[in-house]
Amino acid sequence: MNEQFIRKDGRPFNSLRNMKMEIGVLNNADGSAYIECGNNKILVGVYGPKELYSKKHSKPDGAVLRCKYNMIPFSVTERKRPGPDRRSTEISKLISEAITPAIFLEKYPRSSIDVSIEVLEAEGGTRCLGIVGASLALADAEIPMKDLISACAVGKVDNHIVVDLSEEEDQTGQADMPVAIMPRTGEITFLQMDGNLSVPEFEEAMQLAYDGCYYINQLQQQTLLKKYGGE
Amino acid sequence: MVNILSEVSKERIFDLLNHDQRIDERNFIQYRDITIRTDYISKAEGSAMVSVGGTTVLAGVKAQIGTPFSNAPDKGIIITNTELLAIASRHFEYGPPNKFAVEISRVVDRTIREAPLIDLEKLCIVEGSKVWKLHIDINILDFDGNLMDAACLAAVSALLTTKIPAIKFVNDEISIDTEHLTKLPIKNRSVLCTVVKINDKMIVDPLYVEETLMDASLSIGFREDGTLCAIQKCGLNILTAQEVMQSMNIAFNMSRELFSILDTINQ
Amino acid sequence: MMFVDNKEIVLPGHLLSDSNLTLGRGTFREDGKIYSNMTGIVFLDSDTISVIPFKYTYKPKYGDLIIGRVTSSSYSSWTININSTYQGYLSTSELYDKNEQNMNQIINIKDILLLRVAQVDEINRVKLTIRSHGLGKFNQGTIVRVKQPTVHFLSEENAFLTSMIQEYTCTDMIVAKNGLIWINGLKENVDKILKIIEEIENQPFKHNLIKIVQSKIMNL
Repeated sequence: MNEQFIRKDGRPFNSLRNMKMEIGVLNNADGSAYIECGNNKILVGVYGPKELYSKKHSKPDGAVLRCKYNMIPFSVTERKRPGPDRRSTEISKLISEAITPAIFLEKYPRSSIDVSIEVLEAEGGTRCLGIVGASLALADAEIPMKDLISACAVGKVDNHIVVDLSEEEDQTGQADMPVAIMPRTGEITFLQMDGNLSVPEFEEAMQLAYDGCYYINQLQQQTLLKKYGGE
Repeated sequence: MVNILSEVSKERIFDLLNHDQRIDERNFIQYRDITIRTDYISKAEGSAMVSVGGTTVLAGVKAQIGTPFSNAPDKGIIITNTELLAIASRHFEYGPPNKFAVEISRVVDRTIREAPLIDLEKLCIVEGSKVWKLHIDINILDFDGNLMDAACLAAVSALLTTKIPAIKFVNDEISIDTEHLTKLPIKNRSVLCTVVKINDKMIVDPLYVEETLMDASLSIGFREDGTLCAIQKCGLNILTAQEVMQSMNIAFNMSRELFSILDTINQ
Repeated sequence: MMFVDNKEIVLPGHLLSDSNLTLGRGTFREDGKIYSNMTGIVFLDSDTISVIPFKYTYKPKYGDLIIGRVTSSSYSSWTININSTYQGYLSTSELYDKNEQNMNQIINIKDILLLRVAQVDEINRVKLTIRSHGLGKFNQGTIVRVKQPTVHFLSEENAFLTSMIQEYTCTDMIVAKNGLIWINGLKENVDKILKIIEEIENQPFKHNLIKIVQSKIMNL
């Protein structure tokens, strides 16, 4: 049964890796966040909202959210060439869509909000951590939001549904499913899956993803409160 | 959100400089606090995060086996690349490295190559066909002036702590032994020190605001024995021969400090 | 019913109240309930609930007194940096009736002006005015940039402190809503006031801050 299943790195099925979150780590950015999760290291910077002068790129009814997900060359085992590739382009689009529902973009017409996600080291689950970090950095930049978006990955490893897949589990596992939610309402803003799951397994995985996201949301809230409510 | 006071602080910086003071209360030949954290990225063969005040640079070394250049069949290869990440400043944008990033790469590359920091001949595995190829990637994470010195310090720290796998020959086939790691063959350590001319004063380690007002700068690479290995003059204005000699003196003294900081990292 | 206390720290999405209050800055209503939309401090003033952000964020609002710097000029208007996401515009027609020959002799690029927000339209174009009592150009003085809680503390909650500082030190001081404070007086007095502002800036929500500041002013 799931309860007795111990994963390769010693975690039970429902346990996340150790996480460390920090905000306000960059001097120039309007908002920033740094997340460590296992060996994953992710740095997010937010610039904006800033007024756009070109009519071509700006929208009269709201801000343009521009997300960039980037892996630095030595963040992965095999050196990655600098610059965008198909994978990072797709992830940039999805992260942008994952955080858009939470932001009151309509409050900043004719402006842009730039979110840059830099993966310093990758060890599985960077897109979810990118969303978590982007959400924290946006909160740090004081951009009006409905909620903090939380995200985590679930998957199927050795016929067990587990949360927060490590790099090895991601590569050898049977399924990988990153999920992002707005914790207050439980609405889903991001969902991907690759691999094979039965419908009951999917439901189980979804429940586990919710639990993981609520836990991460607690950490996000603590991080923000620690920064501002230090007294 | 541009600082509305930028004009005021320009006058203030000049005013302070005329009274031998700087905006952050340092003297002219004083670096900001420097911290070096090595072995930060476990996926890289070597890495270092260097902060010089508000400037933070992350350098990493990736080692691969590649084919040598035909004009140097018995030498390993080093390739230096710099990325000004968009998180570091509102003036940095995504895209291929611009002229500033390329200049940093090339100056750092010269300081490392000409020292020479690494004995490239020892990175040769099979002459003419297999050599170690080291990719040095410099990423600017946070920007508050003096990128050149910080980038070079990060690259050198990363190389000093880089460990590459041993090579074994099994039936004339090359196999990589990741169990046994060896340090790079270090020959001469080198550092880069930049002296900036601003309002006819010579200062080191400029802040971003100071850099925007500078006349010219001179970046000088030193080997540990005090000899020179690279020089780069930047900026739109001139330096007199006297100023160049003065800069050389200042940079030499500063380079001793940088070497003693390099001594503190775990090599 | 209120779900938070006055001056409590809240995060985006925090439930504030389900009463029929007026929405101030930093709040939104969903399904009849009021939530916070940013990290900040709850501020309840009669029947208006707002969340005061911790940092510099300033959004122009009709009637706000602001300090701005002229960044460019055209035939019809000056563009003004107002320490906000958006630039402000000051129409040249504002000064026609003053019968001046050359507009550039009145307002130049880099000039620092005291202005009021005349209008913010639906796409956040900010129209400014200089035609009102006390508005105009600064020729001297020091300007410091502060965070929003400091502005809130010195202008909305305890406006009397500003007049008190002016009285006790014979110094002129204007707290503008966009996070800039102008001070003019003897250098030593200005330096002392800057120290007090710094203290407010560091702990704007400290218990008893009013009394501490008050006694500091009296000892100047």
